Amino acid sequence: MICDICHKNKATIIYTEVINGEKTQRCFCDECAALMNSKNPGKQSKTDLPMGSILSGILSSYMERYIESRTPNKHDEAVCPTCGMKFSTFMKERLLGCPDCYGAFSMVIEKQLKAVQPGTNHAGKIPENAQVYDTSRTESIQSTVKAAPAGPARKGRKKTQTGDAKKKVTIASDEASLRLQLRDAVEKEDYMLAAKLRDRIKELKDEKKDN
Amino acid sequence: MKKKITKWYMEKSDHDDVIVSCRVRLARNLSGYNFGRMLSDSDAQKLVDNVRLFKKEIEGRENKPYYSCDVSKLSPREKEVLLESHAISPDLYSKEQATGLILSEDESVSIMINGRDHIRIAAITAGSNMKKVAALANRVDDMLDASFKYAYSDKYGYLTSSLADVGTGLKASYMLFLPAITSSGRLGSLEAELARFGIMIKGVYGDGNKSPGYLHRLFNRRTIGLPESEIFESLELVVSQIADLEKKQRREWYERNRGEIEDKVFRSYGVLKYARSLELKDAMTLLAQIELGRFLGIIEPADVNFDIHRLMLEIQPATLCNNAVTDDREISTEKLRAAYIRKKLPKIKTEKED
Repeated sequence: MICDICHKNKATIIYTEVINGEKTQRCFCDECAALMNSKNPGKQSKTDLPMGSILSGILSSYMERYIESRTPNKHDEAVCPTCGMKFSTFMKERLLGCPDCYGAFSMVIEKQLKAVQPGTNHAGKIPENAQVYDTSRTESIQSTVKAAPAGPARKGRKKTQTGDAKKKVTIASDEASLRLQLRDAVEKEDYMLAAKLRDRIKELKDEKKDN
Repeated sequence: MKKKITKWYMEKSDHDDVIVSCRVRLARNLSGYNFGRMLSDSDAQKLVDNVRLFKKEIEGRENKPYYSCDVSKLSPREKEVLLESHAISPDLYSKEQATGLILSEDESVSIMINGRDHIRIAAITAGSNMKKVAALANRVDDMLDASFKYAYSDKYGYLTSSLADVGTGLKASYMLFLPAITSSGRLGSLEAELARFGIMIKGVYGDGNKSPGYLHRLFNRRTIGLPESEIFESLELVVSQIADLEKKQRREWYERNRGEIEDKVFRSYGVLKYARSLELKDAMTLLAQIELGRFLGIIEPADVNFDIHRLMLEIQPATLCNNAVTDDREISTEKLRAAYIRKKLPKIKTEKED
């Protein structure tokens, strides 16, 4: 199914509306759905569809993802601590920079492998003399190469203690890691955590503005 | 280097009329170096120098001479020849950093250094003998494992620079000659069906349905979550089914369009025999028609050892110019190609008349 607006991309959202027993159906791709909900009035006038507030909420998560994929924040982006490979470069070129990248970008890697492979655990030949790397996801690896500024870092730690301790999810301190976690949470449909992460990103942004 | 060496594609084997060759490729990376994308120029040179030392080791173990070079220091022509004979990959060919190659004399084993991965081991054989190439590649892998430290994780297996190779690092491929399936337009649906089993099929020269020479490469997409043996088994199963289908369709196709196909085959022979200028794509298509005619029993070359696939390799531009013995420096590649084919094309033994 092709998007009703751009007539180019594959539609991922099907919007069915029933008004006075009359059913109308429209299909949109992620990109157009995101633009529709954006605050840009020029783009919004592309469609005169009455978007309900619930739908708008759903679409905002698409927008979040769309903006995330298109405009990587150069300064706060997740970077592999060993080789310096940026997350956005990895997503664009689909090439890893070193063995430690597997740990650094593990949540996306799991997802990408699941899409095309029968499993995500090696089941083949085991070398005799290899250097064995730990590719499990570690929180420290998720942070940027530059040490996170003291202010937000402290707040981040506080949040973990008071906030979501029972779920054992550590809320990261920098924006890039938060975005990664947000993506993960949305995928796992853990909307409680997603909301917290979203608020935290907003807080960080506001703090930056104040500085 | 003008010594007569039997290359892998000249190897005589009783390969059937669908499977042209088998190839196994293993992607490996060494610890202590970043992957290709993030590798510094000095590390690249260090890597190439280091791995090239393996030439001595493998020569001693296999008791065969190997050839080794810095690919990045070769002339463009020399690189093209290696690319056309599939000894190096396009990745290695186009890379500006230091790259290296260790190649067995018959070109059946190649070790590419600093392509997309630090090391790519490839073993190839004519006809259908996947077990033989798998064992060969595995042996070379074991030797490299003993000499170098591979990057490996218990979860993801062999760590590679692309997620398309991670796990086993294994790509096993069959080169298939599929004139009937291609001509009947069934390749598209076959492609879709194979995708469900994690198997891809691609044109060898050119892409998709328009591959001149009707040559297609079939290979596994899945590399992690299953052992090597399963990858080989699923490919073998699929290939034998495709070979049966191709053979069945060839017969049916021939029975339906006897006159048309015979005309096409003889016409192709005539053009190849007498043309004075041949473009690569045309030459490939015409040669494939002859190959088809041979399988259908329409024509029979007088020389039983005549190998069309070898000729297809030899008329690729760089290989052709490299082998050409001519004083005329102005001669075009097309003219050179036509002359080469005229010389190599065997006489036809019997002509079946209706």
